[in-house]
Amino acid sequence: MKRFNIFAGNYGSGKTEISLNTALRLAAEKQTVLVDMDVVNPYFRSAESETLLTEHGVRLIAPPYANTNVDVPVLSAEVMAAFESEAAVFDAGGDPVGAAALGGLFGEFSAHRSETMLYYVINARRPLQQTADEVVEMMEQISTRIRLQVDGLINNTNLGRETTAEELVYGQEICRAVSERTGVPVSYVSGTPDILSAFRPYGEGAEEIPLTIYTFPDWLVDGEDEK
Amino acid sequence: MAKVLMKGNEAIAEAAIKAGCTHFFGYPITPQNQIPEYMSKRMPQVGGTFIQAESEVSAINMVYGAAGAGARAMTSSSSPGISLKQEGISYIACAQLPCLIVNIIRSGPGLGGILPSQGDYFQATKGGGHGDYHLVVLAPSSVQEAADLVAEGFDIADQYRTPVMILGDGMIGQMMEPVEFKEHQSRKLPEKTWAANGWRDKSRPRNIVNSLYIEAEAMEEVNRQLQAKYAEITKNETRVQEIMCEDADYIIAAFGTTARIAKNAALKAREMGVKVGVIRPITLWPFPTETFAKAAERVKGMLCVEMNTGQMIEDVRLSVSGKVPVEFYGTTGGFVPTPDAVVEALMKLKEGR
Repeated sequence: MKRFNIFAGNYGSGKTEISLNTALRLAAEKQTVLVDMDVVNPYFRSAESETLLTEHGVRLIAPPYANTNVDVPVLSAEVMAAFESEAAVFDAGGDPVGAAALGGLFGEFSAHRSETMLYYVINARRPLQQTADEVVEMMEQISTRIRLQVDGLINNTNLGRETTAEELVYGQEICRAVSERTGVPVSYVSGTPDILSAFRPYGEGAEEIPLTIYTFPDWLVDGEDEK
Repeated sequence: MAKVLMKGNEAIAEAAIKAGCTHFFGYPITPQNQIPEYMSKRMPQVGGTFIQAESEVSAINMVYGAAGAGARAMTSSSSPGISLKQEGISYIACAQLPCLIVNIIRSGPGLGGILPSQGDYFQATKGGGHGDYHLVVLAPSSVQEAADLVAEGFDIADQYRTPVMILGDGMIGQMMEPVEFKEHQSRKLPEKTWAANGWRDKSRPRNIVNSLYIEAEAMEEVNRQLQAKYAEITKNETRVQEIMCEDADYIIAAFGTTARIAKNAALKAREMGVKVGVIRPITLWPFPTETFAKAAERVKGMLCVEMNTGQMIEDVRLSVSGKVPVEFYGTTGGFVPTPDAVVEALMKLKEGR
């Protein structure tokens, strides 16, 4: 991975899990910063994993009011510190409005363009994101607001705790169609290790991002009898 | 239809569209914003009407108008916004109009905060607005159930000509879970012969939608009709889920997402050798009084767990008529109870501390 990695996508695409996992992996070798750029989503966000990140040596830069009881969508000036670090991960907001916050860093990203990758994360099991047309439309809106061209697609198609390899297979088809339409390559496929290994026979050697799921509260797991 | 991964708010909005809701009126407030946002995209696709009103008061009165004309109408908000709607809700109840109102609760009182809470139980079940009326209050504990209850809610509203509320804490609105939109078996609903939707052919007497009754006899008659209707709803529509209650010595009473935490706590307690079950009211009004009364005949105690300072516990205590001790564990401020804290409260109850 390059020095600066931006993960953008519609909400529910899995940007936050991918950002957390990538930051933790990068931190094993480099001084790493995770920037939570999400100014639209009130709960279930990177900033909730502060303890986990700090323990693994990742510096978290989050909106100053994230996880508090107020809804003030502002970013910290500390965001600029990310560009001085050895590696940084940017977790974007989940819609064109949320992505606009990244657009504000256009100058910094342009100055570091060769060291920056903008990944677009796709979950083709999300409403209004289930066809290549719908994905391309949302992706164009988001990348316009970020003011950068998308460098790579990530297939992270999932149904939360009910995910099987079938979801990834379906998502891979959509990603290929999006890639054909836009010329953006499919860079990675991501998922938990068991799902990735079940997907591998269909993956045609796709590069993988194995995920540990951090943001799902365990009390939400229902017993098998309850499904 | 294949499952999709949805936020509770999105699932509620899509379920409403699928249930034939044609009119949505709202005003933004976190943590329910994805409902109007989704509706603003979807309503034009199905030829419906989406209006972002200038305030919550306008939105509920637009619902009053659309429902009065016979449309499937809906509004959504969060706690302070629902407070603003109370006058309109009371009018709609008195005028006997069907509609769906969604409250995705945030922490309060006051303007409060955006984090989840169940602090609006009293407001939803004990009137909220003025006068002798009730809302049918449905409390989903998962995103799937939220979607299912929207379809049911519209049907209940139409069948009894009464406003119905979906009451979810902020978690239900914000969390993502797989959802399947099953083919909803719609009830046989009466035709809306009462709707004030034009009188061009003069083939029937004028339909009048009203909530003003100046003569005492007329006002009393409306109240009699409402109470008869509420008795019918209580008889037909009370819903409750009992989990591991058959052999239970203790019961946790909880609704919404808190019931899932309660279930995990019950499983932990069982590992420790204490037989615990969960009673989860799905309708908060009508309240499943009998289920609690029957349980009180065979258990040693109950623990009511809520994300507030103790509201549903009053209905639980009324239901068990003092037969067993009913204790409380709750959190406020946006904190979510942990299963371990619930287990600890259970142990206190068991040891009579």
